[in-house]
Amino acid sequence: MTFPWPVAWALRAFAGLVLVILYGPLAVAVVLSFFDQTGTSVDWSSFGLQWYAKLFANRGIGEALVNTFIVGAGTVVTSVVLGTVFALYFQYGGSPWRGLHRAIIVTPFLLPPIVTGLSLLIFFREVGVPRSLLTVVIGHTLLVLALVYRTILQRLQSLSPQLIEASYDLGATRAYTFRRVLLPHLASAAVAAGVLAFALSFDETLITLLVTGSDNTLPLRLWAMVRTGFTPDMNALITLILAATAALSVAVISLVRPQP
Amino acid sequence: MGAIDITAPAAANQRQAPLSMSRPLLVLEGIEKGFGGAQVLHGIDLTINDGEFLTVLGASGSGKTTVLRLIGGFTEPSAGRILFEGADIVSVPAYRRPVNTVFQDYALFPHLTVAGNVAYGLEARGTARDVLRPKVAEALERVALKGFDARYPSQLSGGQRQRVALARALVLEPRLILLDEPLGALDAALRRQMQVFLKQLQREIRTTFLLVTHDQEEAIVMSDRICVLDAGRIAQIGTPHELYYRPASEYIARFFGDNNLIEGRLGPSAAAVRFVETAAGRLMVSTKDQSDVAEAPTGTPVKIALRPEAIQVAPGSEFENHLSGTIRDVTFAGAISQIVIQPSGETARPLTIKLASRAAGLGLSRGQPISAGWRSADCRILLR
Amino acid sequence: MQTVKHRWKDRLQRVLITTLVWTPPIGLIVLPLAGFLAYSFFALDNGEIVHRFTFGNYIRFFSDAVFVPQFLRTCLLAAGVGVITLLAAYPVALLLWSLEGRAKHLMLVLFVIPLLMSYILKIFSIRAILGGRGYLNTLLMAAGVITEPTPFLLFNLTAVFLTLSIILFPFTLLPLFVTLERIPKALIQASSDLGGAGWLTFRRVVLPLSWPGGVIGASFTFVLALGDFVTPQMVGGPTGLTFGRIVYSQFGLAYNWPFGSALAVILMAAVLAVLALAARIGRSQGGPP
Repeated sequence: MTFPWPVAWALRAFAGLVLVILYGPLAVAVVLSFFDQTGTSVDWSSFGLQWYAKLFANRGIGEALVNTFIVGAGTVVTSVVLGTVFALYFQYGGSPWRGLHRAIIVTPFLLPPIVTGLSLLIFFREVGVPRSLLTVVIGHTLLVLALVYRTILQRLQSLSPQLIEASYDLGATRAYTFRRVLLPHLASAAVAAGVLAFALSFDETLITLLVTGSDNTLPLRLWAMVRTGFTPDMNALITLILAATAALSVAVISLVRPQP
Repeated sequence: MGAIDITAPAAANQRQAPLSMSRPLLVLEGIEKGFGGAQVLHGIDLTINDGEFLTVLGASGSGKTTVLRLIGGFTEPSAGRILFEGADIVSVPAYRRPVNTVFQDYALFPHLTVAGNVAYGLEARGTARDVLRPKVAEALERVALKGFDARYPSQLSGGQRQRVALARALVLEPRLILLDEPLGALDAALRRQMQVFLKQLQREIRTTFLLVTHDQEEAIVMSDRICVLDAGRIAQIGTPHELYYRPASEYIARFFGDNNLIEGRLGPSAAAVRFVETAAGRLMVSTKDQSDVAEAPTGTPVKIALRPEAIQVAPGSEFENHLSGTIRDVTFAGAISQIVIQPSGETARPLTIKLASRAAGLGLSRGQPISAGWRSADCRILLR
Repeated sequence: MQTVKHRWKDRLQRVLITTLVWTPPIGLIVLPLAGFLAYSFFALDNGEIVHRFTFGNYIRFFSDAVFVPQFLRTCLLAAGVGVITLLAAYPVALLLWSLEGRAKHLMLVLFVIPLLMSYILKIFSIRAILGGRGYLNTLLMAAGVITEPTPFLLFNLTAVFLTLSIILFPFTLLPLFVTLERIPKALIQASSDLGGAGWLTFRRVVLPLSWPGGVIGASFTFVLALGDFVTPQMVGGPTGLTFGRIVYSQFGLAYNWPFGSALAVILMAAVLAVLALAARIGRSQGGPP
C-alpha cells in the first residue's frame, strides 16, 4: 500500500521519533563507553578503550557468559528436539487429544514469566530437584518451546502429503522417509527456531531469577552489577551486547522471514 | 532444449514382443470403500492383465483416484481383496508393493536434484552406488532428460517435471505403474505429444500401465482397455473401439463420441434388427450382439445412440434410415464441420452431424432443407 | 501370525510414543501449575509451609487495605502501557508495511534489535537517562526548560510506566506488523479499484483487518508489564511499587510462598481474562462475519 506523501512523511517522522526514544538511551551509553566521566560531566579528551579493557578483566562476566552459552545451547537442543517431536505428533499422531496437547505447550508462553517461574520454583522444591543450570534450561525450554513448536509445525503443515506418499511409493520406509524427506524440509525452520530460542534464552531474566541456583547467567550477573551501582564499564558492555544483538537480529530476521 | 524429441523415446529396437494380455497381474475383487459415511466405491471387480495399458476413466468424484490409491497402498478398502499375482496385498504397506505411482502434480522432492529424485527409490532399497548411477542415467535417457541430472525440480518446465516423475517410477522396474492424471497440468499440444510418448514407452518396456483420467480422448488414444467409472460403479469395461462403437449405456454414449440420443419406444423386430418408434418416424437399428435388446418387450422406452459422423447428407438407398428437415446451424471447425438439423417431425429433437468440411462446403446454409440418413448398423439401442 | 505380531509391536510403539510425548508437558507444565495453585491454598506456620487447605491467603488479599488498590493500580499501569504502545505502534507498523525491499528489511531489523537487546541493560541505559543527575535532566536544564533537576523522572511510577513502554514497544509492534503483512495485497487493490480513496481503504479495509493484531500485541505487552518485577525494582524506587514486585518479595525477603502463590494466581487470573478477551476480538474480527 502506498500512502499520499504528507502521510508517508508524517509516518516517517513519527517512526524516527520512536527510534530516537528506543535507541537514545543505548546511543548515549555507546558514546560514553569510550570516555571517562565524573558525574554527568564527560572528559572528551579521554577517548579510548580503557573501559573495554576493564570489562574484560571482570571475571564474573566471563563466567556468566559461559553459563549463558551452556544454558542457551541446552535450551536450543531440547526445545528443537521436543518441538519437532511434538509437531510431528500433532500432524501425524492422529490423536484426538492433540489440541489439548498443543494448548498445554503454548501455555507458558502466554503466562507472565513470573507465573511460569514461580510454578517451577515450587515444583522443583516439592520434587526435591536442586536448582542449577539444568533447572534454568528447563525453564527456558518451556518458555521458548511454544515458538519453536509453532515454527516447526507451520513448516510441517506446508509439506504436501503427496511427497510423503511418493516416498512410500518409491519403497522408502517410515524412518527413511523421515530422514530423507521430512528432515530436509524442516531443517531451515528448525535452524530459525533454534536461533530464536537461543536469542530468547540468552536474555531471559525473570524466569532465570526464580529457578537458578548459585550459578549466574549473564542477565543475572548484570542485574547484580546494576544493583550494586554504576560502573563505567557497563557502557562498554552495553555497546558490545548491542553489537551482538544487532548481528543476531539480522540472522533471526533473514531466517524467519519467508523467502520471496 | 529444442533438440529433445519426446515423440521418439530411445527406441533403438522396434521389435515388439507379443503382449501376454491374457495373464491377470492385478485383480480387484468386490472392492468397497467409504470415507466417513460416504460410499465412494461399490463392489468394484477389475482385472488388470500383465502388459496392458488400462485406463480408469471417470468424472471427478467418480472414485477413480480412490481406485489408484487403493492399489498404491495409500488407503485400505472397507471390503474386498486386491490380488497381485494371486496374493492378497491389502495389508502390504505402500513401500513394499511392486507398484509405483506417477503423481498428479508429480510430487517431486523439491530439495533433491533430478538425479536425486530418480535415485531416491533405489537408495531407499540400499542399491550400491555403482549399480545405481547407470540405472539413473538410463532412466533419464529413456524420458529424454539426459543432461538434466543436476537441475532442481523448480528449474524445470511442467513437461520435464512430468518426465522426471516418470523416470523416478521407471527406474525401479515396477510390475505396474500407476499414473494419476499425469497430463492434466500440461497444455493441449504437449499433452498430445506426451500421450504418444507414453504409449510408445509402455509398448517398449512392456510394463503394465494403469492410468487414471477424466479425458475420454486421452483414454481412447492411449489405452488397450478402458474401465469407465460412474459414481463409484463400473459402467463399462472394454477396448476403446468397443466403448466407442458399442456403448452399453446412455452414460457411456454421452462420454464417448458426442452421440446423438434419440428417444423412442421399441417396435417390432426382424432379423438382427429392431424398429424404434420415434418423433422423427420409425427407425431401424441393428441388434447384433445385443440379445437383451432383441428380447425386450415392445413399447419399452429406449434411446438410440447415433454418432454424428455416421450420418450422411443426401444419402443413397443403402441407408436404411432416412429423415428430412431443415438446417439450423452450421459451424466450421477446421477439418470438420458440424451441422445441426431440425427433423421435420413435430416434437423431434435436433440432430448433430459431423462432416468433413470439404463435403460440407457444398453450399450448406441455415434454413435450407436437407435430407439425412444412416445405416442401421451405425446406431445402437440403449436400454439404460 | 505375522500380522498379529505386527499389531502387538504397533501397539507397544504407540504406547511408547504417547508416553514420550505427554510426559514433558504434563510433568513440567501441568503439574507445576497445579502445584502452584495448590500452594496458594496452603499456609505458613513459623516460617514453615503447612500443607493444609485454607482460603486464608485469598481472604488476606481481599481484606487488606493495601493489596487490592495496589493490584488495581498495577493493572491500570499495565493497561496504560498496552494502550500507549499500541498508539505508537500503529503508525510505525503502517510505515514498515508500506516499505519495500531493503528499506523494509533494514527497518524491521531496527525494530527487532530492541526486542532482543539485553533486558537489564536496556533498563539500565534508560535509568541513566532519567535519573536526577541523568542526561534528560541535564539536557532540560541546559535548554532552560527547568532550573533544577526534576525528581519527577526517576524512582516513581511514572518512571516505571515510561521504561516499560519503551522496553515493551516491540512486543506490540511485531504482531501488528505481521497482521498487516497478512492482508492480501489484492484486497487493497480491490478497494482502490472500487473507487475507495486512500482514507476509505484504510478505514474500511486496513484498520478492521489489522486491529485484532494490534489488540493481541497490546495484550502481550499488558501481560508482560503486569508480571514484571525487575523494571519496577530498578527504576521505581520506594514509591514505584507494583504488584509484580510484591509477589516476588513473597518469595524473597518476606518468605511467604503460599501467600505469594495466591497473589500470583490472582495475577494469572487477570492475565487469562485479558488474553481471552483479546483472543475473542481476534477471532471475531479475523474470521468471516
